[in-house]
Amino acid sequence: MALIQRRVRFWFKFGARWSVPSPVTKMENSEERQQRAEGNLPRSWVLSACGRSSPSSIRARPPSFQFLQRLLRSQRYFKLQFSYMASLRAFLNSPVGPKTTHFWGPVANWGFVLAGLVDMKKPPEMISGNMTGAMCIYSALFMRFAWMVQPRNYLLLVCHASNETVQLYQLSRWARANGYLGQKKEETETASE
Amino acid sequence: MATSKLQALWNHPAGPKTIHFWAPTFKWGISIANIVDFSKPPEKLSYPQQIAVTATGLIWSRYSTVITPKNWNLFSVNVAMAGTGITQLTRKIQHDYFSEGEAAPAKE
Repeated sequence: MALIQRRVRFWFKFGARWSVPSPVTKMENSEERQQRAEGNLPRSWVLSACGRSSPSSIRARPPSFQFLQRLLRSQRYFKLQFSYMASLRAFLNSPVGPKTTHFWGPVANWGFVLAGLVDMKKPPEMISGNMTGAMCIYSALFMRFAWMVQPRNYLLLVCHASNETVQLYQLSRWARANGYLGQKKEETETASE
Repeated sequence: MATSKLQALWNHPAGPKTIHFWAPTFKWGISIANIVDFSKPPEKLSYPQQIAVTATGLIWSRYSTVITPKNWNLFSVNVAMAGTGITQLTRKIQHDYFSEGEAAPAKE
């Protein structure tokens, strides 16, 4: 289905002037070559070779869709080979790259994510409800900040999105340990009675 | 005259109508949570978290002076964060490594 869509789009864009697909081709044998040299070729052979009923329906055709697609893909392949280095260099020199503080600020904030991940193994009594709750709201606000600051900082955005996830999970662990989300526990207790 | 100054503050590019104001304002919550945790026993503090708080505070103090718009609110809050982080780390390190007088646990 996708291939059909691509072909339709291709022909709409490039092939709109051409209304029929490419003709059938056939290698001529020695007999037919001789006949052609003599100018003696029957009309019907040419037409039937082209898959047409009359000469007026034969027009020059564009190269086939397959051929063009392969050509374009090979060009893209060469472009890709050259652009790995180029994109790395572009990142290193970019206004939010590792030579600027716009990079290292978010890197420091990944520390919160790492701290949260390390603390996942610890018992929930060691989690500070104040700190974790503050972190959840903080990360939500800073996702918006990262979007609106100049220059726009996607690294910071991703950092705070992951921090939000980690801190919400830690908050749920703390809440469960302190009896705030205790519904399931009560149900299991009544069921066991 | 006072109203025009207030208006200038209200309409500032890092003012109360923008995220540039509320994000740092809320970041004070982290420093306040840390200050509240001053009364927590040092065993319950988390090294990774306090190191993250301190490093964030220090690096962001620099970051907030180079972004557009320049954000002194953010600067002050990160200085405070670094301060509370350093205090908590000091408390925990003192408790773990320097308090020989008390019955210290396995850490020496």
